[in-house]
Amino acid sequence: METTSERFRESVAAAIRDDELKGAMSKLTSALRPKRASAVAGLPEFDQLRDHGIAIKMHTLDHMDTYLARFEDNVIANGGHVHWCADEASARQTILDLCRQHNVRTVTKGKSMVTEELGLNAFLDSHGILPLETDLGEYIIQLRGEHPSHIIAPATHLQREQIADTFRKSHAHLDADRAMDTAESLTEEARQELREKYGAADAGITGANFMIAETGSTIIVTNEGNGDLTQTLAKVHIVVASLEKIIPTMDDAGVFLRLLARSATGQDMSVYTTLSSGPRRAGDLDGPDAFHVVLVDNGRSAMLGGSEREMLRCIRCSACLNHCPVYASIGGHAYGWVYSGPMGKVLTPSLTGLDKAKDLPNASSFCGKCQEVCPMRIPLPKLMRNLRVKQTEMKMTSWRQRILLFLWSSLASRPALYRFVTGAMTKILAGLAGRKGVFRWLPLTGGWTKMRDLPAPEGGGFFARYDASRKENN
Amino acid sequence: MTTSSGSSQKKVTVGLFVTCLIDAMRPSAGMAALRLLETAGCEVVVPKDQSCCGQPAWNSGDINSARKAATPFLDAFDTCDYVVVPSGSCAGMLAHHLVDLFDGSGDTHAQKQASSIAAKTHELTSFLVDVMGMKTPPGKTGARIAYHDSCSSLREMQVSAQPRALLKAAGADVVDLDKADTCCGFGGTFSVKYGDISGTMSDDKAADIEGKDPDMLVAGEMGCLMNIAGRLSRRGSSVEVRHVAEVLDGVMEAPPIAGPRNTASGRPEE
Amino acid sequence: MAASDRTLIFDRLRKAGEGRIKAPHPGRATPPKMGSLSGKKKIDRFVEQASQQYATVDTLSSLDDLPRYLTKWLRRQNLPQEVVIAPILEHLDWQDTKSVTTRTGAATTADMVGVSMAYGAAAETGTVMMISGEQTPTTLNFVPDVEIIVLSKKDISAGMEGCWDQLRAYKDKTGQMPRAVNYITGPSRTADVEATMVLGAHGPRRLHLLLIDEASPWRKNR
Repeated sequence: METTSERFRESVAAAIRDDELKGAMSKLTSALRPKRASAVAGLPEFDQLRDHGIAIKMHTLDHMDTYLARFEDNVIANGGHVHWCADEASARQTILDLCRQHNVRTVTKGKSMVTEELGLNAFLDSHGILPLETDLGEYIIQLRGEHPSHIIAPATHLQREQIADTFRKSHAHLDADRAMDTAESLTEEARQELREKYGAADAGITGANFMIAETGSTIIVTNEGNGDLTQTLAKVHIVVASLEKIIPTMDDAGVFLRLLARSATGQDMSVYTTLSSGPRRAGDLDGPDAFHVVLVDNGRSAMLGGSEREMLRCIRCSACLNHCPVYASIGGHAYGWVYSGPMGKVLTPSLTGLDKAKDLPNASSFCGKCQEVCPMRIPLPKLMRNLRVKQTEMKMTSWRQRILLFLWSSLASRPALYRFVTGAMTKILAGLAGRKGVFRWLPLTGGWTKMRDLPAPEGGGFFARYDASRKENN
Repeated sequence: MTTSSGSSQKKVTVGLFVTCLIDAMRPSAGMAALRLLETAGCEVVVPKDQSCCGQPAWNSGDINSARKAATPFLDAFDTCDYVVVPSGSCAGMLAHHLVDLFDGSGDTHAQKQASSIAAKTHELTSFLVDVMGMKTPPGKTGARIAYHDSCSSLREMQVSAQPRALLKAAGADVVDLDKADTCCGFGGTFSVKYGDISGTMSDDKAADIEGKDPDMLVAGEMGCLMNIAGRLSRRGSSVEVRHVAEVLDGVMEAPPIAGPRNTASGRPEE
Repeated sequence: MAASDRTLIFDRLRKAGEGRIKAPHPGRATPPKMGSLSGKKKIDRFVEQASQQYATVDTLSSLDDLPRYLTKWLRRQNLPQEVVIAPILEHLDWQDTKSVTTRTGAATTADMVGVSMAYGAAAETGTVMMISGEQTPTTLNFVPDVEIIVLSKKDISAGMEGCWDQLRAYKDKTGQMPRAVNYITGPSRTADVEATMVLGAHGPRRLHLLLIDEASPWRKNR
C-alpha cells in the first residue's frame, strides 16, 4: 500500500477540523477504554500472563528459523503448502500465481492488515481478480475506496450516517425506503449482501493472528464469522501472514489468547478463535481443497537484527491506538499507512523507511499510556525516541531544530552564562508582557500560540530571587 | 526523619534542582519548593551550576546536545544526600534516563555519577511525604482544587496520592478530572512542533477542568501548567493555575500562571 | 523465486541471531484461577460465562431426547421444523418426532437451523470446541442462522489447556490435527459501526447450547 505519511501535517490539519471524525473517535475511545480496564481488572493474573507472553515472544524471536521450519514441516504433513516471500512484490506475485494455478476468478477476504500492507486488492484487481472484503468494517471501506483507519475496527473513523450513505449508493438494488438508521439494520444489510458470496468464491484469503509451529496451524481471532465462512466455503484457502506471527505451541497460543481479546475489546475471549491445519481430509464433508500459507518477510527480519526488535512482540491488539490521545485527536488515516497509532509510529517507519515517515516518531508527547496498556509491554516511547536518534544521526531533522538544540545545550553547559542570558531575557519578556501576563504570540512559537496564550515569565530567573532572599536572611 | 528543633541528629541534605522551566518562568515556585523542604527539616543547597537535565535534547534524539547540557549537573549534585525536583518529568529524566544518556559516552566517571544521581533523585511532593514523612503542609486553603497528574509523575515516578494527601491536609477540596490519566498535550517540544495536535489535547483537558468548576488547577509540572493555563486563558476561563509547591507552601504572592498582573508590584489586579 | 526467497529469509534470520544470548522458553503457563475450577464449580462457570456471552443454555436429560426436545424448542422459538444435523447425531431416533425433518451433512445458506456436537469446551470462558471431520462438518457452525450445539459435561475442561491436550490426543490417534478447530463463545457479533455491539453479524445470530450428563459418542472413538 502506498504511504502518505509524508503528508502527515496536512492530514492532521484536515483531521483536526473534521467534526464527524471527532465524534467517531470519541465513540471508539469511550467504548473501548473502560471495557479493557474492566476486563483486565477481572483477571487477577493478567500481569503474570503478560510476563509469560513476553518471555515466549522473546524466546521465539531468538529462534525464528527453528520454529518457522517446524511450522512448514507440519503444514506440509497436513497436506498444505508454504510459500516464502522476502518482500512485498514477491508476496503479491506469489498470491497471484496461486490464483492462476487454481483458476481463481472470485475471491472473498477476511480482515488482514498484512494484505493491506501489500496493497493486495489493488494488485489482484489490476489482474482481473477483485477480492471482496467480508469483514463489516473492511467491506464498508472497500465500498468507499478508503484504507483502514484502525487495525481491528477498520471503519472506526465513520459515523453511522456516513455508512448508511455508502450503502445507499452501493446497494442501489435495495428498497430506497428501507430502515438504515441503526447499527443493527446496517449490519443486517451487509450480512444479506454477502451471504451467498462465500460459497461462490474460488478462493478465500485470510490473515493469521498466530501461527503454531507445533501443529502447522494458523489462527484467526474474530467475532463476525466472516473469516470462517471465507476459509471454509471457498475451494482454496490462502493464508497470508508475516513471519513474526509464529509461536511455538498451542499452550503458548493460550497465553496470548488470554491477553489479546481483553486488550483489544475487553472480551475475555473473542466469539470465534479458529485453528486451520491444512486442506479438507478424506471423508470431510466441507472445507477447502487446498491450503496455502504465504509467509511474508517484508522488513521483519531486518527489524529482528536492529534496535526495533521489541516491536516484533506486537500481537496487534490495538490497545495502544485506543488509549493514545494523539490517535484520538487525529484518527488513523493521518498516519498515512496501514499501521497507525503508537504501534504505527514505530512500525511504519521501520517497514517503509524513516525517510518516508519523518513525522511519525516525532508526533508524540511521550505520555507513555501506550506502553502502560500494551499486553507485551513494548516500550513504545523508547522505540520512538530511538527513531528520533536515528533521524538526528542521519541529519533528517530540521536545521532549525539542530540550531536551537545546539544553542540551548551550549548555553546549558555553561551555567554562569546560562544564568546571565536567561535572567536578562526573561526580564525583557516579563516587561513586554505587561499587565496581561500572557503573550498572544511570539516569534518561533506559532505552533503554541495558535490555540493557547503563552504565559509570561516572572522575570529575572530563580537565582536572582534566591540570592536576594539569602541576603535578606543574613 | 523530620527532626524537632534542638535535636543533634544530622539533617538530610537536599540538592534542589529547580528545573529550567521554573527558573525561567516561575522562580517563585522554586522558592516555595525551597521553603517546603526547609520546613520539612532538610538542609537545602541550591547548586549554582545547574541549568538543564538534558530532557529536551534527549527526547528530540540529539544525544550529544543532551549530554552537553546535562554534564554540569553531574558535578553540581555530586555530594548531596538527595536530589529533589519540583517536576515529575525532570525527576524522571534524572532517575530513569540519565544513566542511559551517559551510557555510550565512554566516560566511566560520568557514568558513575549518573548512576548515583539516578538513585537519589525524587520528585518534590513524593519526597516530602514518602521520605520526610510530612503530613500537614504549612499552606492553608479552602479552595476547590482540580489536581492534574503529569504523565511522567504518574507513570515514571509513581506520584499521585502524595500531592493529593498534602493538598487535602492543607484544607483543599481536591477533585479528580474525568480523564485524569490522559495527557494534556505538552510533551516538551511537541507542544510547538505539533501545535495543532497539542492544542487540541490541551483543549480537551481544559474542557475537562472547566466541567469540574474548580477554583484552581494545580500540578507539580511547569510544562503542563503553562500548557493548560495557556489554553484556559485563551478560553477566557477564570480558573487559577498554580504549581503545587506554591499552594502547599501557602505564600502564593505571585499572580497565577497566565493570570493578569500589576507590572509595578507583580501582584494580580484588584 | 520461492526457493531462493526461502534461503534468503533463513539467512537473514540466522544473521539476526548471531552473537545473541538466546532466551529460554518459559514453559507452560499456570492457568489462572478462573481456568482451574473443577466439579460443579467448573460446570457452573461454563454455564455462567456462556450465558454472559449471549448463548442460551439448557440441559437434556439424555442425548436420546434430542429429537423430541428440538421439536418442542423449534416450535416455541417460531422456527421452521427443519434442521441440518451433524452425522454424529444421525443415529438418534429422528423418525419418532413426526415433525422435525432432518438432513445430515454440511450446511448450506438455505439451512435456518443447524445441530452439531462439541468435541470439548473451556469453562473459563464459556467456550465450546468444535472440530471438523466426518462426524461434525464445520459449516454447521457458521452458516445456519441458528446454531444448536450439544455438549457433554464430561467434555468440559477447566480452561483451554484441557482442550489443547484433547487435540494432541486426537493428533496422536489419527495422525493429523483436524482440518479446523473452532472455539466458539456465543453467537456472532460486530462493533464495527460506531463501536456499538450488534449480535448476529455474518455467523449465526443465535447459539443454543444443550448440556448432557452422559459421555458423548466421541468417547467411543477416542
